[in-house]
Formats: sequence, structure tokens, C-alpha cells
Amino acid sequence: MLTLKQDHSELVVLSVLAQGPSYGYAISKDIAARSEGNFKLSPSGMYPLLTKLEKLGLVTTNWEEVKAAGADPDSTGRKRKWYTLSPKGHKQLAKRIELHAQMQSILNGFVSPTDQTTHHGERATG
Amino acid sequence: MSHADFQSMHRHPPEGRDTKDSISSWLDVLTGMLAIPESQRTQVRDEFEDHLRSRIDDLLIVGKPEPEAIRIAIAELGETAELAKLISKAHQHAHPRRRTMNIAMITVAIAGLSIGGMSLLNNQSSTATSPMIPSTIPTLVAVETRQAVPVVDEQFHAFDIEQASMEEILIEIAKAYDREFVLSEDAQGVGMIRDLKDTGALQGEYTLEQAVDRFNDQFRSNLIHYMLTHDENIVLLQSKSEYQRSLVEMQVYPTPEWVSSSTDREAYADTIRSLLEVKFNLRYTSIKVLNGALIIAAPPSIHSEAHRIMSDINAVIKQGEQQRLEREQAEEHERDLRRSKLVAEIIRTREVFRQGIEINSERRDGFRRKAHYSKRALEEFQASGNTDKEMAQKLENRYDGDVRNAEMFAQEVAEDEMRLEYLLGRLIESEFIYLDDVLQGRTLE
Repeated sequence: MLTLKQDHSELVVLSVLAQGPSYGYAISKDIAARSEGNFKLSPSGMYPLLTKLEKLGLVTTNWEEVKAAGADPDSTGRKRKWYTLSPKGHKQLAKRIELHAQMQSILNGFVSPTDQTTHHGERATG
Repeated sequence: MSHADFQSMHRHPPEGRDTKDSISSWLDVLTGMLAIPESQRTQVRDEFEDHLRSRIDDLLIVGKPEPEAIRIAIAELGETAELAKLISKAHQHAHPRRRTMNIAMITVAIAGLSIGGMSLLNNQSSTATSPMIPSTIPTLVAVETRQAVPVVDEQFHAFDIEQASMEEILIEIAKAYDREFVLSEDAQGVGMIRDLKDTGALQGEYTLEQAVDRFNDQFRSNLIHYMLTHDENIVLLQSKSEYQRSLVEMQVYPTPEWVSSSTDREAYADTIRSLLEVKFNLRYTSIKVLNGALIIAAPPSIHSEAHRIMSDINAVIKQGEQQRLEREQAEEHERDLRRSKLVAEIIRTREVFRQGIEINSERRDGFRRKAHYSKRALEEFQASGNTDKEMAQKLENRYDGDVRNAEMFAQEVAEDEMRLEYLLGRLIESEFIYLDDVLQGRTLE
């Protein structure tokens, strides 16, 4: 399993929130599920990151009261903090995706010539 | 499937006392370590409580026993002190950099550390001058060769520094990654940082982390008691002692309710200190007891261990108390059973005595009546002048027999009454005095 670095974490969390509002624990589960268990964003990485995104205005938050099934209807439930991608967050995500694509393109520029060399070599010997 | 769906499908487990205690206790420790305003602290607590309970629910669904689910969920959050530090930092530094303010904050923080270190740790004194922010303008400029490359991961910078002092190299490193270079109070006294000119170099492309490593490698022998650290605002050269003190956090822990006297509390603190000493050097740790509070000033790793030790001790003591309570309850139940049996036996015996008294009283009275009539018959016979001696003897014998029988049964009744009185008296005097009501017949009559 890979532990996400901070910059990747931001891209991944913003992408998860682009699918719709979510909360901390669900976001971490979503990341594990969508990466088929390959990525893990630890709580000590995720919650400070969510705080940062909130402070930067990339996400907005609201609280919901959650009651356990079968709990007394008059009892107080626990509180859940929901995160929603803000318009600024959508822009930031688009920018990050573009940068990611550029980086991939640049890296491909290094990888492709090697492939071509191999093919030429094969032709020469064949 | 979302967690809410899971919850609606599965009945939420009962939140027992232990569950509540473990989670609340952990949340108390976490929030106690947060260096953020109270309102934000409450929100962090609520969010982590939701995280923990959601995780525990999922673990219960896959068949983990509740105590194990709680243990796993808490363990997954990592070291509490480290987590608290990261959260606090995120709340404090989530704004775009404000360099002037940061420098001011660092100045205050370092000055505060010295004062805090002295009062808490009784460390060596230090002259309270504010740390110097380098005022020299760098003469060597970092060359960014990859400006066109989008920086997604970590920034690389190319350095080409030759024949420079340590300070000049450090200023360049800080500048290259948009940070301030700060010399701590202790480090300001190290002349060689500025004076050893033309001794250092830094060439090649590095991330900040790598550049700092490179510097540390190069000057390790010169700066054996010093270290270079960095965060998102500064590159800081400080003594290892200052670094250790900077890690010190103060935390107030309540002493458990089973530690009642001041002597016990001192012994409890000594125990925690002794246990920590096995694993850690406690040079930068202070443990004090004040009324019902245990105050620990220590680095985060020691806080985590102290918290773990205290939780374990508390759990074992509580388990012992629980077992003692269960044993006492079982003994109390056994005593109740014995009492119930005894009460039943007393009631049965009392009834036997009462019946005996009743029957023998009737017999006694019957013989007394017979004695009354046989006496009258004897007197009438004697008054009649009849000389039949055999008849006279017969009547006399009958009278004597009736009197003896009446006396015998009267004796029986008196003895039974004495026995009953003795039994009741003994029981009332004994530990069963509470049965007085029962024995006096209010319940039974």
C-alpha cells in the first residue's frame, strides 16, 4: 500500500469531493476503495489537510447530527462534519489536474524514447 | 455503500460504559493536547468522535469484538501527541505565509520556550536576548533551472555555492525555498557559524529536505551539539537541548478516582515516572502532582507512553475492582440465600413451638378441668359419709393423676415458651436483629 504524499493527497481529496459532499471517515474509505486499497490517507494526514482546504476556502463545511439506528429518538446524536467542494475548490482542482497532465506528458517524453530505442534495436538485430 | 447506509442496516451496538470511557478518555487526551481555541477544540473532538465511532461500527460489522474494535480504531489514529501537533499546526498555519508575522511569532516562541523551560524543567539559565534574524543580504543567488516544469511534488532547487560560511549557506537554503533563516538563542553564540568563512559548499539540485541533510552531513563535526530543522516558514539552527525543549508540551492528567490520598497520588506519580524511566531519558520531563491532577511536561512520545501506561494501569485496577465487586455481590447473594433459609427455618421452628404450646396448653387446661371435677367428686364423696374406702382411694387417685398431668403439660408449655423466647431473644441479639419485624410477626401474622 502506498502512503500518499501531501500534494497527491490534496489532488485525491479534491477529486473525491468533486463527486459530492462527504465526511472524513467516508473520504478515507472512498480513497481506499477507488485505489483498490493501494492508497492510504492516514487520519493524521487527512484531517489537517481538510482543515487546510477549509481555511483556504477550497471547501465549505456544515454539521449534521447523526443518530445510531435503534437509538432513542429524543437522545442527542453525535456530530458529523460534512465537506463540500467550493467554486474556488473546483477551480483549484481543474488547475491541479492540468498540472498533473503536464507532468505526465513531460515524464512520458522521457519514457517513450527508451521504448523506441528498444524497438529500433529489435529491428536491427532481427 | 455509505456509512449511513451501513448504520441503517445494522443495529448500532450498545455503547457500554467501557466503550464510552475508552473513547472519551482518548478524546480528552487529544483535545487536551491541542494548541487551538476552545471552540475549534470542540469541533475537532466532535469530528474525531464521529471518525472513531464510524470506524468501530465498520469493525463490529466484520465481526470484531467491541474491545478489539475500539483498540484498532484508536491505534489507527497513530500517536496522539503527534496527531494533536499536526492538527494544531493545520489550524495555525493554514493561511498563506505572512513572513513578518511568522518571524515575530518565532521570536516570541523561542523567548517563551526559554522561560517555559526554566520554570518547568529547571534547566540552565540563559540570557534572554531575542534571537537574531540575519540582516545580511545574501550575495549568492540560487538558480532555478526548472521554472518551466510544473512543481507538483516537491520543489527542487539548484545550488552553486562555493567557499561560503555556514550562515551564508543556510541563508541561501532558506531563501531558495521561500523561508526565513533563524539562529536560535544558543546557536547565536556559536562564532564559527559566521567566522569559518570559505569552508562550505553546496552544489547540485536538492529538495529542501535533501539540502538540509547535505548541510548536516557537511558540518556534522562542527555542529555536533546543534541541529538544523525546518518547517513551512523557517529554517532553524538550534542546539539539541533547545530542540528537545521545543518538543516539551505540558499536559494535565486527572489522577484516577481510586487514588484518593495525597500519599497515594505521590506514589502513583512515582510509579509512572519509574515506568517511563525504563524506556526514556527523562532529562526533559517533569512529573508533578497537584491535588487531583498529574502534571506532565514532556516531549510527545513520553506523553503517549505516559497516557498508555496510565490507561493500562487504570484498566487493570478497574478490572480488579470489577472482579472484587462481582465477588462481593456473589458473597452477598450467598449470604442472602443463607438468611432466607435461616428465616424459613426460624419460622418453621417457631410454628412447631407455637403448635406444641397450643396443644399442650389445651391438654393442660383439659386436665385442670378434669382435676377440678375429680376434686369436686372426691369432696362430695367424702361429704356423703360413704365408707367405701376403695371408691375413696379411686377418686383420690383420679384427682392426683389429673393434677399431675395438668402440671406436666403446664411444665411442657412453660418450657416451650422459654425455648421460643430464648430463640427469639438470641436471634434479635445476633446479626439477624433486622429480622425483628419478621420474628415479631408483623409479616407473618
